[in-house]
Amino acid sequence: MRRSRIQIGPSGLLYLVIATLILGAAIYTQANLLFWSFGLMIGGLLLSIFIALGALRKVTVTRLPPGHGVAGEPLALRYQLTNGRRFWPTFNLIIRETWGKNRRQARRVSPVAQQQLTGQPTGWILHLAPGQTAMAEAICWPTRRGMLAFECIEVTTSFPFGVLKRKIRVQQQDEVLIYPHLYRMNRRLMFQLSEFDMAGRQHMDRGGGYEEFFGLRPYRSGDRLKMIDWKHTARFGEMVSREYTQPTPPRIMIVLDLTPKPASKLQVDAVTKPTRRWWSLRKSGVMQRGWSPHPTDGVERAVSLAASLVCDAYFYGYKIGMVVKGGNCQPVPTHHSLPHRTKMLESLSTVHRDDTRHEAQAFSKSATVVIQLGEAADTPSPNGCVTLSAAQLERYIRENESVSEELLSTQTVSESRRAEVHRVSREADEQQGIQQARAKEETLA
Amino acid sequence: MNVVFMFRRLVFVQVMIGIVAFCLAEPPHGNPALLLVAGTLCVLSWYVAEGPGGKPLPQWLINLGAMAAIAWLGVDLIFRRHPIIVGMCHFTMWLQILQLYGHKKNREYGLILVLSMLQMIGASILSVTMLFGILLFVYSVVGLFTVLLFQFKTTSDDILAHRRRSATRPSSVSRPKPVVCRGHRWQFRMVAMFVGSMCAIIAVACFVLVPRTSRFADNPLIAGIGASQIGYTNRVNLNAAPPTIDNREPVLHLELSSDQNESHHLLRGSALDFYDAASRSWMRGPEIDRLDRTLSLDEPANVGQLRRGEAYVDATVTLRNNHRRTLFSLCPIVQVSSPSLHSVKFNPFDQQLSSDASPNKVMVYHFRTPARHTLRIAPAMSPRVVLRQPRGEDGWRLFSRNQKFFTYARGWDVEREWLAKHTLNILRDALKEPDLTRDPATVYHARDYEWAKVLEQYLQTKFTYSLTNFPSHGRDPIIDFLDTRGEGHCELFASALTAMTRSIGMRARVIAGYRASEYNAIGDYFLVREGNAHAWTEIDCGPMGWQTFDATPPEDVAAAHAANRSWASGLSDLYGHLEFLWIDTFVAYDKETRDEVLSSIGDSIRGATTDRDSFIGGIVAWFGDLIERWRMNQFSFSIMAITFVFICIGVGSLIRMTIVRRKRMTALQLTKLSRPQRNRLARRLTFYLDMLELLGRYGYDRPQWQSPFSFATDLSKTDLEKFEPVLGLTEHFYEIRFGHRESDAARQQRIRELLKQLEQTLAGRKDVA
Repeated sequence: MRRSRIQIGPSGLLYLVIATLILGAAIYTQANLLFWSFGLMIGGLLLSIFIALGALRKVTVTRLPPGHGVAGEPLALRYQLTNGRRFWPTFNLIIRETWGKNRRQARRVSPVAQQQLTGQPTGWILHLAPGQTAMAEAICWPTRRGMLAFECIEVTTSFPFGVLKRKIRVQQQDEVLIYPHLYRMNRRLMFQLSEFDMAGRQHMDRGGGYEEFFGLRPYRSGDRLKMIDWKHTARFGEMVSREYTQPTPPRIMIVLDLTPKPASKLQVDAVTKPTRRWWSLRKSGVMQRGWSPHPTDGVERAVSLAASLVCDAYFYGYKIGMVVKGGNCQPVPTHHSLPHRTKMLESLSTVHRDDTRHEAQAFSKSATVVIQLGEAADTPSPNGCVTLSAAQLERYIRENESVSEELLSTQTVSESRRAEVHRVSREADEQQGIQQARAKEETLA
Repeated sequence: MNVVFMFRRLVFVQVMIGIVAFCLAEPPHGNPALLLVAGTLCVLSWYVAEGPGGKPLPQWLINLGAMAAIAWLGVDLIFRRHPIIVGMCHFTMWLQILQLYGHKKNREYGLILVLSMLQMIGASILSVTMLFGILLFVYSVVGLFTVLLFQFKTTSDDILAHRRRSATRPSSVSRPKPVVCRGHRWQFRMVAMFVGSMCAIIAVACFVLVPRTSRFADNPLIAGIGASQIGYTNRVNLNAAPPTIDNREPVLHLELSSDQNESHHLLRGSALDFYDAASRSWMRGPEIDRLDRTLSLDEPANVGQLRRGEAYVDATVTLRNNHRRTLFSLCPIVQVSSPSLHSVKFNPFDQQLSSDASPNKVMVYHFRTPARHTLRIAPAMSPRVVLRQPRGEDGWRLFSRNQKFFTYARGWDVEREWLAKHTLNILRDALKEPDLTRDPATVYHARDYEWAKVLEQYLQTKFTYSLTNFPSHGRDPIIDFLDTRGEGHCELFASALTAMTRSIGMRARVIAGYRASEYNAIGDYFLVREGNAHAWTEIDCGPMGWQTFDATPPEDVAAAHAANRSWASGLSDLYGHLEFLWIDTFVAYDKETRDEVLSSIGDSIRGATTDRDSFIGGIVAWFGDLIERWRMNQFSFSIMAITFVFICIGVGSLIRMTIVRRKRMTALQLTKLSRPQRNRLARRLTFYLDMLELLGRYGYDRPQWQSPFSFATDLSKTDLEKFEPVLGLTEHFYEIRFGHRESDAARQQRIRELLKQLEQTLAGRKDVA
C-alpha cells in the first residue's frame, strides 16, 4: 500500500512571509525591481508545487533487511530505491522507518517507544537519476535482543526550496532478529575452558587426521605417497596405507541456569544500581547506552555471557553446546559449525525465563560451564564444571575491546593461532603469578 | 559532491554581492567608503572564521557588535537623518558581517540569508540602475544555488544529528556520505538551470501582469532619496546647493535627424521670468502658467511656421523620470508630435512644453526646429504677440499685440540703481563709450543684442566658474556674486546676466534645462544625464526675438560636463545605451505601460485570430466557415453532437481500459515481459485476478509489495481450512506463470472448482459471522 502526502513546513512558511513582505514593499514603493523579485518568489513557489506533485511519482522503495543484528551495535538497514521516470531525476530523498498509521500511534507502538531502538532509522539519497537504482543505508542501534519488527517506509523530499514536503509511505513488514549483547571473553577464561576435558583425551578414536598412528588399511586411490606403509606393502604384496587420529577440539557444554537464585549483595548491586565498574564500562563504550537498569537485567546479562561464550568458542574452534534451565529453549548438543552457532545465537535471542521448566536436562550432566544468575565461584566444581556468575560479567570480558566484526565473522582461528593464544595466556598467568609473589614478598619485607 | 564545502563559499559570495550591490545603490551616488569598509570586513571574516586555522569569534563579542549596530541605526536615523530604508539596510548589513565572524550552524546560516535578502529588498527600492539590476540578477542566480545546497546541507546535518543522538558512541558517527547516481553533477546543474529559467519566466510574467498603481510612492520610507539625485529643477534657488554634476543617471536621449556639427545643444526646460528676492529663487510667473494651452497630439501639432525653403532639423527625445512634468526641447520649435503622449501643454510666450502623463512613464516625442536659430521663425516667442489659430488653418501663425504682457520678464528691484550703474559702467568700459546710456523705460533698443553680448563676454572672462555654494545670508546672492565674490555656478551666471540686462530695461529670463554634450556613437544620439543640468539666459532682442546667451565660462562648463573619452569610451557608450534600454523597458514599466502591453497583446491575439492569412486565423476561420460550408441544420448538429459524445465515451473507455490493463499486469507481475508473452499469460492467469477480486470483496487485499506465495501463506496461517483453495490457486498461478505449464481443460476445470470452493467457504464464514 502506498500513500502520498504534501505538507508545508516551517521553511515554507518563512518563504511565504518573505514573498508577502516583498509584495508589500513593491506595492508600497512601486519599485519595479521588487515586482520582479516578487515574481521570482512566486516562480519558486509554483515550481515547488509542480515539482512536489511529481517528485516521487514512479519512485519505488524496497527494504532489504539484514539477517540479524546485535544489541548495542549499529544495525544497517538498506533500501533499494528505483526512479522509474525517464527524464526527471529526484534529489534529496530522506528515507525513514515509521510505525502505526500516524504519529500518535507511532509514539505508542514503535520500537523507539518500547526502547528497542534508540532512534528512528533514517537514510539519505542525494540524487536518484532517472531509470536508475540506488541503495540507501539507515543506521540504527537496537538496545535489546529479540525480534525487531519494521512496518512502513516513509520517503520524503523537500526539493528544490524546502517550501513543500512531499511524502510517501510504503507498507512493507519485515522482522530482524537481534542477538544479545556480545563481548569478547577473557583469554584466560577461554584457555581455562579449553584445557578442560573430562576424559582427558586429546585425540579422537577415529582415523582421517594427522596426529598419531591409528592403524592400517588398504590403499585407496588418492592417498598421499607419504601415507603408504612400504614395509607392510612389501610384506603383503599389496599397497597398505597408514591412518592417523584426528585431534579432539575442546568441547564446551554451557548450562544456562535462569532459575532465580537468592540474591547476593553483588547481584543486587548489579541489578539495581550501577557500580563504579559498571559505570566505567558504559563510559568506555564496552557496555553501550541503551542498557538501562531493568528488573530482568540479571537474565539479560546471563544470556549475553552465554552468547559471548558461544561466539568466542566458535572463533577459537571449540565445540559447544547449550542447555537452558528455567527457560524456553531446546537443548543444543555440542558441535562446531557456523549454522550451529547461528542456531544457538537465535535461541539465545528469543529465550526468556520460564519458571515452569526446572527439570534437569540430559545434557546438563556433561556440562563444563554453568552460568548462573546469582553469585558463584569460578573454580571448577568437584565434577569439573566451571560456574560463572552473570552478576560478575565484567570479570569475564575484555573491557578495552568492543565487539568487532571478528566476533561474528565466519572465520575461525587456525590451530597455530589457537596455540599461540594459549601460550600467551599461560605466560600471562605465569607473569601474574610472579608479580603476585613479588608483591607478597615486598609486603612481607 | 561536497555540499558543505560549496555551500559555505556560496553564502560568502552571496553576502559579498549583497553588500556590493547595496553600497552601489545607496543614494545619492553609491557609498564607496562604506563599500571599502564593509567589503574589507566581509573578506576578512573568511580568513578569521572559515580559513585554515580560523576560529570564530566568541558569542559575547558578536552580541556586543549587534548592540553597536543597533546604536549605529539610531545614529543613522536621528543624527545623520538618513532615510529609514537606508538605515535599516545599514543595520542588516552590519548584522550579516557580525554573523559571518561568529560560529555558524544552520540557524545562523538561515539568518544570514534572510538578512541578505532583506538588504537586497531595501536596495531594490533605492536604486534602479542597470548595474544594480545586473548585480541583483547575479545575486538571484547565486541565491538559487545557495538555497538548493542549503537544502542538502540541512538534510545532511539533520541526519548526522539524528544518528549521533541515537548512537551508543556519538563520537564514532561520521557525516553521512551522500548517495548519488551516475551523472549527478550535470543533472543537478541542468535541474538548477531549469528551475532558474522557469522562475525567471514566471517572474517576467508576474512583472508584466501584476497591477500597478499610477500613484508615485511618496512615503517616509524613501523620503529624501529622490530629491538629492536631481540635477534639473524648475525653480532655481540661489541659496540652495548648485546643480549636481556627479549624478550619472541618464535622463533623456536626443536624436537629431541631421548632423549639426555642434559639440553641444541646450535643451530648454523651464523659462523662469520671475525673481522672488525673499526666497532668492527664480520661478515662472503665475500669469504665464494660466496661458498654457493643451495641444492634442493625435496628429502633429504646429506651434510655429518655417520660412519657405528654410532648412529644419527633426529631433526625437526619449525622456524618463519626468517628475516635474517638463518636456525638454531645442529652441525654437515649430511642430510637436508623439507616439506615447496623447496631449502636451504648450505656452506660446515662453515656448515651454509640459505633460501631465505619469512621471514614471518613458515619453518619446518629436519636435521640429529650424536648422538656424533665426528669430523670425519664432514670433510666438515674443511677449508682445499672442499666438492664435485662425479658422480654417492648421498652423499657429496669427499674432497681435497684447499690452497685458508689457511687463513680462522686465524690471529689477534688488539694488537696481547700483546694478544699472554697474552694468552701464561695464558697457562703457568695454565699448569705450563714456556717454553710453539706455532708458530703462524703453522696451527695445537697437543695440540690445550687442550690449547683451558684451555683458555675456564680461561675465565669461571676468568671473570664475565654481560649484562651491556660498550661502549669502545678508546680501542678495546675485549682487554678492557681481560685487564681491566673483565666482559661482551656472545659475548665478545666468541670474547675473538676467539681472544686469533687466536693470537697464531689457527683457530677460533665466532658462533651466540640460546641456547635451555626451554623444553616444553606438546609439547615434546625445545622452543627457542628471549631472548635465544647466542654466542660461534668454534676452529679447526686439526684431531678432528671444536670443540665447550663456554667460557661464564655456570651457569650464564643457570641462565639468565632459565625459572622459578613453580606450574604454566604446564600452562606456555601450553601457550607456544598454542602461537607457534597461530604464526604457524595465524601470519605467508602470500602470499605463502595463495597460498598453496588455492591450497590444490582446490586439495581437485578436489580429492573429481575425487574419485569415495567419495560421491561427486560418484555423479559426475554418471553424467559423464550417457551418456554412457543410450547410448544417439542426439535425446535422444533433448527429455531430452524438458522434462527439460517442467519441468522448470511446476515448474515456480506452483510457480506462489502459489503466485497468496496467493494474492487471502489475498484479500478475507481468510488467517486465515482452508484449506477446504478456498478453498470452494475462489470458491464462485471469483466474488469479478473479481470486484476488473475490478475496478483496471479503476484505483480504494483497499488498502490492507482497508476492503471491507469501500472500497465500499468510492467509493459510490465519485459517488453513478456509484458505486452502487459495494455496491451490496460487500453485496453479506459479505453474503457469513461471513453470510454463499449459492451461489445459483439466487444469481449468480444477481452477474453476477451487474458485467455487473459495467462494463458498468465504460466503459460509460470512454467514456465520
